[in-house]
This record gives sequence, structure tokens and C-alpha cells, in this order.
Amino acid sequence: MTAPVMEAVELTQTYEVARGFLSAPASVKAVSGISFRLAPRATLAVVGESGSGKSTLARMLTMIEPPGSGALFINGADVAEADAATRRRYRGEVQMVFQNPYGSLNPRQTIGAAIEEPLLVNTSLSSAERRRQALEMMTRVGLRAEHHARYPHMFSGGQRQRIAIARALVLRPKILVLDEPVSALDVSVRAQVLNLLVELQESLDVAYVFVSHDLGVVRHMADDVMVMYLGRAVERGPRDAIFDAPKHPYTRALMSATPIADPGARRERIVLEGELPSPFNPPSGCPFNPRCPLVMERCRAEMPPLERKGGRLVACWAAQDTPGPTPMQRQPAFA
Amino acid sequence: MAERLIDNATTPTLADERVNAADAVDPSGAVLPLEEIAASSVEAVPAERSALAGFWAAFRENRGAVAGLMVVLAIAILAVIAPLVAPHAPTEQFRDFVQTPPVWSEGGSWRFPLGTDAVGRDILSRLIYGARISLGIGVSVMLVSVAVGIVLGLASAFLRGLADTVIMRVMDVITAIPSLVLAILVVAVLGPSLVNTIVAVTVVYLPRYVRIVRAAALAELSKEYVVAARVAGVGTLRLMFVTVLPNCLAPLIVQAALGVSDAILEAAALGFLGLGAQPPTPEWGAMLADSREFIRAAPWIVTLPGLAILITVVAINLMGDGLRDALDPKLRRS
Repeated sequence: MTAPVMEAVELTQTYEVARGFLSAPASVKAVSGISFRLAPRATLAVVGESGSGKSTLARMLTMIEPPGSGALFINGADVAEADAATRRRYRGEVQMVFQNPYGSLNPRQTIGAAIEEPLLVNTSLSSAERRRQALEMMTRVGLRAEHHARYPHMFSGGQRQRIAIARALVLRPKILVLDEPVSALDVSVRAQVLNLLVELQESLDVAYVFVSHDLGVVRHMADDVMVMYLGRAVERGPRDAIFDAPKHPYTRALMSATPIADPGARRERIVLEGELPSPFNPPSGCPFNPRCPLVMERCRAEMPPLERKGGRLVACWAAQDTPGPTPMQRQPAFA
Repeated sequence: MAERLIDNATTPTLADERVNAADAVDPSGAVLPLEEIAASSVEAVPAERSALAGFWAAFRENRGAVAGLMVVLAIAILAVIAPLVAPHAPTEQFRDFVQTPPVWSEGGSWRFPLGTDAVGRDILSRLIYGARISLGIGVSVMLVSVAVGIVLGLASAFLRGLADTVIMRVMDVITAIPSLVLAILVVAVLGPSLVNTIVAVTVVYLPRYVRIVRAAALAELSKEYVVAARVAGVGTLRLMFVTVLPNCLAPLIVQAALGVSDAILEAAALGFLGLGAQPPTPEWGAMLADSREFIRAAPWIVTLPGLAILITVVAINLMGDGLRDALDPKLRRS
């Protein structure tokens, strides 16, 4: 296996939330103990519902905020130990594309200026050279040269997302964090942007961390999948293993909620009961236990570790180390 | 970068073909005109012009605003070319023509179209020269307080914490004191003069600019493009002035335009109290104060400077309202 371009070890982020003047601030574990290795040119998809910590993870990976604990390695070097100059260089290695293309572009900046800005602040290229690279990147993402002097409000959502992608890639990063890059787009445009991303990954040698809640998209894009629930990874492994035989009951429920374009298809539909628990007051033991159809005594007492079972890592006491998916029938408590 | 491109070209994909096509276009003339446009720092010419045209179309709908703009322009032009249009020097005393009434009253003459004051100075000339001082005070107060307001407001929004608290509480203290009292206080400390008037009025009107910039910057800071700029490696200073500030300008421009008229009024009030421009400077407020004892005997001497202040302030306010109407929908749209 080649050396990973990015490696996360036990990344954890805790936020203090003030709760009024007199009460003590509460702490929220937005992300806890996330580890993964990302190979060059690979795509890791991070899946989970809102509030599962996906966006916090993305912010840590792009160094917008330092991790509360744990370590992040880029090209094998620890980011926390880097001095300011080195960290600046890492900035160029990890870039990000945001969910909402209407919010992520400065309305007062021409798109040429927007795409050149990373070059302007991170390199000492001449303005002619910056313009040349920006125009080249625009062509790559399917924009025309005459778009250079236009403002973002003159573009459609799909085009804006192309602009955002061009801006993120103009520094030739090794890693691109995509935070729900197509969920704000029309379905018709979605496929175009996804195909563009696949194309760019091949031609520019970039690895993706693809944050999404759309399993159809994930299946199309990902090499590896990490399913998050309440800030923790509940299942992580190769795409096919997870899609063909999900082991964690939460993953199974997610899969069953994905619509399929075949009216005749019949399949099991797992409806989770209840809401995502409050992160202020997570349940004891496994965080999924209040909603889990397979819940056992042990789940309420002990946190299941992320263990290798059936070709992927899964954090569930009920998951068996067999190739098939975990059956969803309620099992007797002392099987 | 170049080597990487060539590497990729060995595996022909759709993207590579596009890149090659772009490279082929690059040296030819197709891209050059655009580069020339962009090179001359007015990269935004076409779009900017259309934005300006849109703004003008919205502004023109408001007739009062256009009238205000024209009056303000006329006063500004008069102020600039005062030596050419004023019939006399503003401080020259015609001892034989003390308190001559204006031309339309009995006893008036075309030599002094608006009459003369208690010491025989031509009122029209003094009003024209006074426009220089009043507009000068208004504009310089506005420029200084906008500049300081931008720096303090952005610092407050970006630094948060202690700096934010200190700056905003100081602004609260300034707002808490009635504006004229505070201006008198500042002038009393610094001594009465034209420059100190400007300083005093600037201090009084600073909080509104700081607040506007801070509020607008905080609203912009929560938007994703600011985070995107940070990820791209943009430093704090550039983020403040290049990324965020241009998006905060619309409310600031409106406030600045209206602030000019407030500053003129405040400076005239100080002049009236004898704390602003000192005689014989032809400042409108001071002219009003000098002549108030003649309000029965020679009412034009006190009325005309008052009218000048009124017309200027109303014109600026009309223009400012038009600016607000023209800029605000854009603010909501973007």
C-alpha cells in the first residue's frame, strides 16, 4: 500500500457552549476519536445525518480549526508540530469545496480574482502567470475564458460550484475536502459536477474526502466509506463491503432509506425510531442504543470499540465476523 | 506544475483534451484581449459599468433624490469656484453700505444682491465662501469618521473578545452623552477653532460608523465565502479589507452621505455658540450668531445664512435617501 497523503489519528473536537450567565458551560463532543488513512487519488466518503459531526471533521481536516485532541498527518508530517511557514504550505495541500455555491463565493469578486486569490496569497507568481494558471483551471472545470471578468451572481449553481472547484484546485492540492458539494444543486447538474470531479481526480492526482448524506452519490464516488453517528465512526471500510453487507444497524437503516429507481423492487425498509440524541447528553454505552433495533443489555453499558469484522471496521456488539450483512431481526437478549 | 500536466497528457482523458485545447488557445490571440483588460486593474469594467448603470437607473426613479443631488452639486461647484463668482471679498467692509437690504426690498441695489450685514460685508459673497467651509467641514468629518469607523468596526468584528468589548463600550459612552454637549466639551478642551470643530464633530459621529461597519462585518463573517478565503490561505488583514469590507460598503455609503448633513448642522451649531470658526471667517453658523440681534431691524442678515444651511442639509438628506433606496435592494439581493 502506498503511503497515505492524509492520516487522522483519534481526532476529537469538543465545544464549550455557554448556557446562560450562571450555569456552567456545557461541553459538546462534536467529533470523537475519528481515525482514517487516505491514500493518494483515493476517495473517502464520510456519511451521516445532520449533526453527526461531518462538517466539524471537515473543518479540522482543512485546518480551519485545530483538533481538540488527536493528530493529523499530511504527507506523513504532523500538522500540529509544524511552524507557521510549514503550515502555510500544508494549506496549499488541503483545499475545500463548500456545500452552498451561493454562499462560498465573494459576491464582490470577479471569478478570475477569486480563482487567482489562492495563488496571490500563497505563491509569488507574476500576475500574468497567475492569470494563465487561472484560465487553464477554468478550462479544466468547463468554464470559458470570457467568464474571467464576471461576477458570481451571473452564474448558475452548477457553474458556481465549478468556479469553487477551480478555486480549490488552482493550488494543485493533494487533498480536496468536499463538504456536500452537490447537495445544493439541481439533480440534472449534479451528475455533471460529479463526473467533473471524477475526471479531475484522475488528471490532477488529488485525493477526496467526500462528505455527503446521499448514499447514491457516495456509491458512485467512494473507494472507502466512513459512517458517522453522533461524532463517532460506527462503520468504516471499502465501499463494496459496506454497501453489499452493512454490518452496523445504523448503516443498514441508512441504506434502506435510499430511494432506488425501480418501482418493482421490493426490499426491507428499516425505519429508525426517535431523534438523534442531544449531543449535550449522549446516551451511555453505544450512542445508537436508544434507536437500535438490535439493542442488548451490553449496548447500554459498554461502548463498542471499532473492530475489524467481516472485512471492515465496525463498532457494534451485535455485528458478527461473517461476510454477510447483520440481520435486522430482533435477537433474543441472551443468544 | 508543467511537468505534472505533461504526465497527465500520456493518459488521454476528456479533461486532458480540454487542457490541451486551452494550451493551444493560450498563445494565440483568442485569450489576449481578455488578459489586456484584466491587466489594467479595471478587470471588472463591463460588469462594474452595468452595476453602476443599474444603480443610476434605481436612483433616477426618485425625483427628490435627483433634485437633491443637483442642488448639492451646484453648491459644491459654487464653493469650488467661489473667487470667480463672488462679487466681493468675503471680509471686505463697505462702511457706507451697512445693513443694505437685498435687491428685492426697498433701498436694495444690484451692487449687493443679498444686502450687507451689520459691518457692511456683502452677504452673497459671504454665503458663497461659507459654502466652502460648511461643505469642507461636512466632507472632512465624514471622511475621517468613515476611515476611523472602518478600522475600529472591522477590528471589533474580527478580534471579538476584549478588543470588541472595549471599542463598543467606548462608543456607547460617546452615544450616551448628548451630541452637542459632547462637541462643546471637546472644543472646550481643545480650544475653539475650525480644525477643532472638525475633531469634535468627528468624535460625536464616530459611533454610528463603527456600529454599522461592525454589524455588517459580523453578518458577512458568518458567510461561507469568508471561510473559503481562510482555507485558501488569505491572511486576516486581506480578509478584513479586501474580502469583507467591499461587502459592507452599501449601508456605509448611505450613512456617510447622510452624515455630511448632520456634520454641517453640528458645525453650524458650534459656530452659532461661538465655539466653531472664529470671526471674520464666513461660516454660516457664526454668521447666524453675529446677526441675531438684528432680527427685527434687518431680518435678511439672519435669515439668509439660515436658509443656506436649510437648503444644503435638505438637499443632502434627499440625496442620501435616494442612495439608500437605490443601494438597499442590491444589498438584499447579494
